[in-house]
Amino acid sequence: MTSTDHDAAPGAARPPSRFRTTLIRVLIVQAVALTLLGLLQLVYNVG
Amino acid sequence: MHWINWVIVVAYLVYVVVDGIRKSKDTDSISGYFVANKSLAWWVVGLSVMATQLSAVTMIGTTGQGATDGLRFVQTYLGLPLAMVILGVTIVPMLHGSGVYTAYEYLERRFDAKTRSLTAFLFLLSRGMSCGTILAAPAVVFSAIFGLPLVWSVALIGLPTVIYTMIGGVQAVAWADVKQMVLIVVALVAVMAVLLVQMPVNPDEALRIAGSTGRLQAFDFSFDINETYTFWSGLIGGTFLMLSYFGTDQSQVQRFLTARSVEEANSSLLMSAYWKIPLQALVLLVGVGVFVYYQFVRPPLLYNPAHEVAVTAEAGAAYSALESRYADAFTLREAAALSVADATDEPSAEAAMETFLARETEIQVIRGEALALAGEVTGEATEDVNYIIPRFVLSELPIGLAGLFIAGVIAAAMSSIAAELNALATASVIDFYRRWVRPEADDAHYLLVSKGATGFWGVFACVVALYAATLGSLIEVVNRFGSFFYGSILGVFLLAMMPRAKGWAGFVGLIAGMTVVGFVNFGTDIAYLWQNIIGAGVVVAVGLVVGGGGEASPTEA
Repeated sequence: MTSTDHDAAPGAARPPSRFRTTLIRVLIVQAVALTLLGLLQLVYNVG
Repeated sequence: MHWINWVIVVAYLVYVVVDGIRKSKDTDSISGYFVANKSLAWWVVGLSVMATQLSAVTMIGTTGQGATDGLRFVQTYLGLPLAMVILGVTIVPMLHGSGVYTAYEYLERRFDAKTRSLTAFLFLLSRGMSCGTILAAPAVVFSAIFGLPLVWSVALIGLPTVIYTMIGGVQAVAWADVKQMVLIVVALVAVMAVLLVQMPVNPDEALRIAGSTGRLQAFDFSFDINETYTFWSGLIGGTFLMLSYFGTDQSQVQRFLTARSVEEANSSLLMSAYWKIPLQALVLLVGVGVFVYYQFVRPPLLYNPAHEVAVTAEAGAAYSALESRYADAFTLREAAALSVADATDEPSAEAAMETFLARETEIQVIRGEALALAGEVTGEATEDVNYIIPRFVLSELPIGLAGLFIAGVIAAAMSSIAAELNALATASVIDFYRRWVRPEADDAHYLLVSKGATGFWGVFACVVALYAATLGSLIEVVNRFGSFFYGSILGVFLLAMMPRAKGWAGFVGLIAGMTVVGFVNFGTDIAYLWQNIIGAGVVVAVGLVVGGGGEASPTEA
């Protein structure tokens, strides 16, 4: 499929922007890291 | 330190210098010297960005902070991933695509020469001093631990750094950063592995002991703008701080200007977005691990060995009495820590934790008395957080690994200092010498001056490091002054992205932003992460009022 095909398909879903894709990936990795730290706090921290 | 450890340290130092000089082959022009002819791969730049930000203070100070204060500091970096993604669609394409050598150079194109000169001057002032303090922190610790004169410690770290940075330029700095970053991570992982193997309790029990003192509290969700480390200050204020540091500070901007393309520059920043928080968590967890380890192996009463020697010599009887109380208190605390580890149900766990915290308080009282005694005897500041990890490494790590960690600390110091020297030289030559003194000289002349400027800033950093103790209050003032500048300069770059802002907008906005942050800093208790938002906001607001109308400048098109 060429870019012209995209242009010729009104109403077709636009691919997600590179910014949004990157942001989502970064957020997923951070969510995993922060969840692990949060679990440490929830399970063990009582101070 | 065992001679094998010294061999590892010396081998590392020799390798870094020789390799740096080898990398100087493509630096026969200022484009090669300052931005590597925009030829570096994303992963080289990415590791260089991370190594620049990770200094020796991280290796000895932040790990020490993990031991004394736990994981809370990780919140400072919560805004970093978001900041990196935002930079990728704003400042990175703007600066990389404009062909500038410095971030400040762009501000003249967008606003005027005075805005460029003021921001560049502020950078030189604050970074020149901070370069000295980055060198001083590990040098002072090494001096006390190895019994070396301070001048030798400064030379051990400073001299090789100045040599390879001066000869090899940014190319040598970036490639050295790659190896240094690998060494740093290996050293941290090795310490963590040794801790896990040598710890007398299992990981679950170790975490219970650490958690009972509050050291596993990574997040504080309270919304208190006077509290330094909270989830919200890290996420919101931290985003602005990281936008400013990675997007407008020449020591970081110069890293991504060396990338082959905007795409690769973005990828290099995303490496930090992915890995900074996990790495910072590892650094702090090493500190927490050392805290737990020292529940079962008695640490020194004073971590600074120079103070230990001085107090023993001049107040021996008083110190012996304190050591005797310390030994007894340690035995009781060790038993209490084991009770926490062994507790099987909730009531017994609560009782064990209560006893443990009481024993820990006793230890801290005795430590406080010993630190006060050291202060009386030496007349020096006695804060010894920076000595905890080096003392642990040298006394508890196997031969070879201790040398590896010390080399890692030196690597962390060198990578930050080298990037700053490189950036200081670039701003000096491009924003001042070429702009105001000799605008028409040939490339060879600028290259020569650039090497001289690198050498000058290297000597300046070494001198500041040598006199860091006596310059203490001055350095503090300059660092504080630098913090006024951070949010405000981000504001200038935000203004630069707004077509409406012209002419005086940047200059007047910057002065206004710094003035307001100065008042906030001295007149309120608002934590510093929030001050970055205030600075940026004031600059944009004032800039739009001052320069929000009129004709577009001719260089703007």
